[in-house]
Amino acid sequence: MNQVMNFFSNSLRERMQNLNLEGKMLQEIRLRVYKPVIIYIDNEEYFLSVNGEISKESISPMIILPKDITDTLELMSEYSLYSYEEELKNGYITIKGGHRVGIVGKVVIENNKIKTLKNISGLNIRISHQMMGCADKILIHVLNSPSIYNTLIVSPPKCGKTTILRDITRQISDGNPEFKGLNVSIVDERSEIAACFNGMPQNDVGIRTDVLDGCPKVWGMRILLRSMSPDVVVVDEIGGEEDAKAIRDILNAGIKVICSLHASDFEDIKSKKYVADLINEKAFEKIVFLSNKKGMGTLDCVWNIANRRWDYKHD
Amino acid sequence: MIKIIGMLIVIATSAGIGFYIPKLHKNKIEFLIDMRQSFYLLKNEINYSINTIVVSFFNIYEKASNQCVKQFFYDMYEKLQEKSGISLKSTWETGVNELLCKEKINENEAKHITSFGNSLGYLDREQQLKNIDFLVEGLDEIILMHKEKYEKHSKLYSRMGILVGLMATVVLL
Repeated sequence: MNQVMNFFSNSLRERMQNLNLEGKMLQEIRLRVYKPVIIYIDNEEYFLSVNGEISKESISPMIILPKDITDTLELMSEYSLYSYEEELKNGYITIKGGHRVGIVGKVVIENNKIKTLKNISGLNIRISHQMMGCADKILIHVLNSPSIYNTLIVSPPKCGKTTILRDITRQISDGNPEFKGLNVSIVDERSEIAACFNGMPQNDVGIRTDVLDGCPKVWGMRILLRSMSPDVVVVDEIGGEEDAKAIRDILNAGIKVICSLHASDFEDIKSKKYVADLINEKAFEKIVFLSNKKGMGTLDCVWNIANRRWDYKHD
Repeated sequence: MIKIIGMLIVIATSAGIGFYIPKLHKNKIEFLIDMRQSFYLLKNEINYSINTIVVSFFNIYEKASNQCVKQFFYDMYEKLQEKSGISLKSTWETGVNELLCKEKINENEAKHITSFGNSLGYLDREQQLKNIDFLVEGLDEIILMHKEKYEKHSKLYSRMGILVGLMATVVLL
């Protein structure tokens, strides 16, 4: 909480500074012009009152004014909104600490492309939480000492795909007494895995990890292949034809890959033609399915493509 | 003997003042040139490095040669780093006013530099660059004006200093 406090306008700061969130997980803070401040803590929704207290009912809520949004955005962008031009086109910026700020407002279109966002009317501050060790159960299915299996991590949205991917990356990179760490390169197109701020990863992604931040996946994979001689390349949310081509290039160079994919089951994967092609070509050796049955990042099952059997199946 | 020493002191003081005034002018011109140079650096920081204002100010502090310019950008960097909730516009205005008091810049010149802070940081990159170009153009004019003034008056002041000293000694005698 203290980490993000400095990014708020003075009026918001005054109200939020006395909130006691010890032992609770702050997830999101939503600011909308002329609307109450809504805070999500431990999956519950709360309203922030003018007295600086939180409650589940909207009693004398603090109403956000345009100036609060402008001032907050000024502080979040380090007084330099121009330096976030590219991110703004995607509707978010990543701030110090790896927190993601979703931004909405009036979209300016030029030549059929988004030029920028103006008249910003809402911010959604998603608090970054790195969960060390959350991939422990999955890691044994990924490691194939002294290397790893080419792995596809599959889950529907909000099941912790990226969090798991980040922890796998960290553990593969750092290594352990039984497994020697590998050189890992991440293509972090949306700054979600390493959450870079000014080029510095804000999350621990391991001591042997190189991050290509904000780079389109296809370009990034090819750049890393030529420049960093990685043992493993990590990419989030693949799906397109070009992604599949770049992954083939990586595999042909003898480099291992770990990718994630938005899908819920095999049927869903089949509907994504280019990823299905990769699976049919046995580009991946293992497919890890995640769910949120027992909380975010629950390991559901692991499919071994070579042996055509389940290595693990959740009861 | 005392009279001669007194005469020499009067002449030396007057001539000193005559040389000191153009020196002040020259210092001001050098300061303005260094200030203009720092805005070129800012332009590069924004255009090529795409650094934030805070990082840019620190980099300018490291590269600038004039002590006053250095101090100005370092103070700005420190204030912005604090994230006290004060807007960039106000921080810039306060910083510029403090600096300009030291450098004795007139109201119009101060206004030109202060108004730069109004749109600093918030607009897109293209507008930031245009904004810097506008500021630099204004500074060019100010520098040119001071240079013309300096060339015109520097010899006059130094000669007048000596003459006034001589006249004063004649009158005192």
